Amino acid sequence: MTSDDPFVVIDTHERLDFLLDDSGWISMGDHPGLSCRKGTINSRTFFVAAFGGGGDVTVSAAGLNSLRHLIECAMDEVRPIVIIYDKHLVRDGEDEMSSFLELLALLGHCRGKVASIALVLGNCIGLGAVAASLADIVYCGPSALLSLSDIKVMMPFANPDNRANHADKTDTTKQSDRVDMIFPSEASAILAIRRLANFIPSAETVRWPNLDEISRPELSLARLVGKDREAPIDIARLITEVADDRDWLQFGSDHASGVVTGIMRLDGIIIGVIGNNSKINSGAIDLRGICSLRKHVGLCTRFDIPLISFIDSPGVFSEPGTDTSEILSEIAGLTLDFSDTRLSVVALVVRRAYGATMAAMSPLETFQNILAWPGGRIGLIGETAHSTRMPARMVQPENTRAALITALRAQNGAKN
Amino acid sequence: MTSPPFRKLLVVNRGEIACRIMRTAKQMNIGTVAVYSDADVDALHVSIADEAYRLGPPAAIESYLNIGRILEICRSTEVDSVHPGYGFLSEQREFADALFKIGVAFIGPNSAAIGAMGDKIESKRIASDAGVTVVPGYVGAINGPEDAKEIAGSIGYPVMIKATAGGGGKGMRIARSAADIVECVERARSEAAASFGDDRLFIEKFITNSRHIEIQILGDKHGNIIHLGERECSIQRRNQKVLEEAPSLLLDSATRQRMGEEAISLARAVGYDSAGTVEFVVAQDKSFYFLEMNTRLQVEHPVTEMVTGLDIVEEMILSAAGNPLRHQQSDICINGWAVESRICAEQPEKGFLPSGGSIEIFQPPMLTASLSTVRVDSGVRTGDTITSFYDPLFAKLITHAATREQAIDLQCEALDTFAVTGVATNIPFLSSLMRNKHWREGNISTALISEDYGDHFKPEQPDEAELLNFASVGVAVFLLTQLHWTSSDTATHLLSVIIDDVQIDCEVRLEGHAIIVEIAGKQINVTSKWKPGEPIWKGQVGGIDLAMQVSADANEITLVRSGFTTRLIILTPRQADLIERMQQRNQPIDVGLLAPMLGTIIAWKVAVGDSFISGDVLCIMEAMKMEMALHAECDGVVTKVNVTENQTVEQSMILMKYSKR
Repeated sequence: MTSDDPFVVIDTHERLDFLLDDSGWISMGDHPGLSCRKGTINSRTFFVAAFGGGGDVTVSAAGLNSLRHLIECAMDEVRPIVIIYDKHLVRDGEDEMSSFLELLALLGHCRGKVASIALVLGNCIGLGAVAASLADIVYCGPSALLSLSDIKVMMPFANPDNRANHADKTDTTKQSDRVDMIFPSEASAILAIRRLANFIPSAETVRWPNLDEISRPELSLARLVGKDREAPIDIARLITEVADDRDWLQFGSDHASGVVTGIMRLDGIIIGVIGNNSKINSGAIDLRGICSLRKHVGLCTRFDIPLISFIDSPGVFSEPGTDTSEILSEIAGLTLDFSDTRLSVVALVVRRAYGATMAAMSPLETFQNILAWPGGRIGLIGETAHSTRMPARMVQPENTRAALITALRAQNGAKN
Repeated sequence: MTSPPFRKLLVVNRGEIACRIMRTAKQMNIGTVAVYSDADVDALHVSIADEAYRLGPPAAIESYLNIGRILEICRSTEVDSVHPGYGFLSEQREFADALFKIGVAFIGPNSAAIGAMGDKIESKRIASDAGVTVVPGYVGAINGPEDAKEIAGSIGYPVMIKATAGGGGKGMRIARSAADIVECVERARSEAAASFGDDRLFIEKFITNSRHIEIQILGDKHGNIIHLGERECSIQRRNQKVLEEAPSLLLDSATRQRMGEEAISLARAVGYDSAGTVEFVVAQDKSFYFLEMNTRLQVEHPVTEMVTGLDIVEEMILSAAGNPLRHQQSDICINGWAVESRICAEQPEKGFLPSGGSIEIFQPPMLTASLSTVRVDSGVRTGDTITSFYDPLFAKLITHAATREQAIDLQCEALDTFAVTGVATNIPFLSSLMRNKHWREGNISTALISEDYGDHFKPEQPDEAELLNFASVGVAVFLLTQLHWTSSDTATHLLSVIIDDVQIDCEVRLEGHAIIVEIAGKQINVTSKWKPGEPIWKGQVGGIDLAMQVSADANEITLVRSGFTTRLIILTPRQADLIERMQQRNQPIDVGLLAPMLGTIIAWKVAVGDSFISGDVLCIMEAMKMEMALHAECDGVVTKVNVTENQTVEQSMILMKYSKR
């Protein structure tokens, strides 16, 4: 799908070539402004589609129908979907409007049945933006713009380094809480989806052989919490040391830097990860953090992905001027999200879980699934009130990986 | 078991040297006490000591140089001995005197000897009187540039202008002609005043193409003094030692004996009674001249320990306790060859800027049979933090073998398997140095690094064979980390490896336990037990044993070996064809200049709207007691400055933003 738009340097076919393995694919529809394929990413089957072609190309109802067919096939085969959104126009006709609304309904319907990933590379406006936002995971390239009309939901990419963003408090970049990651280049964004492919649920990727030692001792974790127990700790390092192959995928945290969310494999199984970043507000959760947690818990719930919660928070933080009722409402919502599902959750209290933290980070009825490092405490109203040694299993930091695997196995055994 | 010479030893130092001293103390059944600043509360030396006490805030003047607080700790802990290590208070006469007054033994020489050797003019005079050959020059402080010109003229150019209280390369300037004198005097004087609070200068002849060789001596309180041979410390960068070895390839036995005798003569002249080092500048014709005497344990003492079999710290402790030396000069034999590399947190490719942060992995070389003579003296562990408050040296790698060549080969092997991540280190530079032709041949001088490498370390490109080895290992790592290849996989993969702008296509398949890589018309078999997440890849490539550091981030694999740091992008051939065009899609974006570590911005050299080109100085930062210039890595225009002058900045903070041009 070549375009005359000088800004578009590769077309939709080439993007899909870049995304898929070289080992061959099947076309599921090739239309102006939209290509659909079934192919493999890292040898695992995916259904993929790419919008594009620039402002001169319009997508027809037939194209949208091909995309609907692709989604239905993915649901039948329980394979993940990747849709790449770039500058495109849908023909302004009754058929197209009808097809697009049906497409949106189908995208909503497939949530929880197959994993869907949206990659936004250019202007994505109106219903296209809504379609992209329905995906389980939304990645963006440097020129991405999600917008309902002229109201920008997300500004263009500004800085790939989250650490640096934390330091640069004056940075005005905003990121929608729908967006999971932003990448500095189109190539890095597509390659990141190939990496993500190893972590998202699919008929083929539920479990794979784990070559990493289960009881691999991590002596460095014994020193993660230093003598100064109030000093910030690097929760990402803790997750890295625990994960299979010391490899996990962290979602962007620009919009909710106080929490960490991501996916790892543990014991060969895909595991969702949430945690507190004590480098920001000492790990206290704010409104954005709660929204980010809800989104991630929702993803895990939809696909029955077990969750590990690394709790290290003094409570909930409300910025001056913030409507606290909104925070309360979101925490209540998160508590209900947990209780409405049979999501397997194991919580590890690293140092503290005070106030409403426990409700936000772990199902309240799963006290038996709480592990704690030595000195880890739960308090209803913080350290000064009835903070107590919790009814948790104490685990030495260096044995965290083995303890989490044991707890997950026990929980899965109980569930099954 | 004999009773220990002391009951309890306080080590007034930190890092690797504190750990090393405590190791010997524990072997001697002496209780150990550590002190720490707030920056070191979780440091290794604190955890291995029997007791540990806080000194104060991180700044050295408030902690490791805080004599009052240290004396308090001596009293409260009832220690009977103090070892100062090197640096900090190790050569402060006042400290030794203060300890004497409260009845605590100072593990070092008597304070009179420290005082006599602490002043460079005075030590030169004493040395001359003791019959030690000194560098031709003027024994006295100069009055000003005109005075300096007159003295320099009589000595003959080039001359070295030095601070009398100097050390560590500070307050030193070389004047090659009378035209240089005014600026050299002014700069040396101002640096000396700032660094030592003493702006007195003296002049001596500068020996060109010289070597730095020092004699280790040992003395006791009974008048016995011996020497333990020499250490060659000529491999230096800006007067800071980088590699050391023992013995020196230059010296013959007669010269060695003469240097040893002169060192003992000087030590005897000042009543020396501990371990110390007499430093000489040595011309390539083996003529040697006294430089200075260091009245303390040296960083590089392990190479002497390896070739003599002595524990110098143990000897110091015994001497301080009043024991006579256990060895006579005739007992001292030099066995084999030892080489030491200083492992520092710095960025050789960025002008050796210091680095800092949390050490994600610290994995010293494994002591397998072939590496049985590898010793690592370290002050850190995985998870520890390297701060900007102290010296960037955090470990020393020492190898000992029968020959110099073998000791150097061991260094190569050990450096390739020394994994440190999270903090940039000079390991690739050291690895390159170990393969440097001049170093290997022993054709060295103190100018080797500046002449062969300049101010920035630019790694050489690997040759084709090495490149194919890297590509083959990279592909094997990629298959395991990204495709999770297992022995049951039968598929053949076509992959493209991009190294810089070079694309190499290859075909990969599994045969038994070997990964077969068809690349550039060759078939390379790769076998390894490496597993994803491990920092060191070891295995066979084309039948040859190789080891290298590896980090994998999706399609980008970084391999470090033999001083080469090679970043490979591994793609399918189709992806490789498309990636260049895809990069054109990227809009110009603002990028940030990040603080390399915790420090203070001293001055800005650019403002918003200014254009700059690659290499321009953007700002001056102070960290780790050094001022450093932060250079532009590309051409650009400043769009925003985020910090003001004299503002403290954290590591990775965005100092300014700019648009690339």
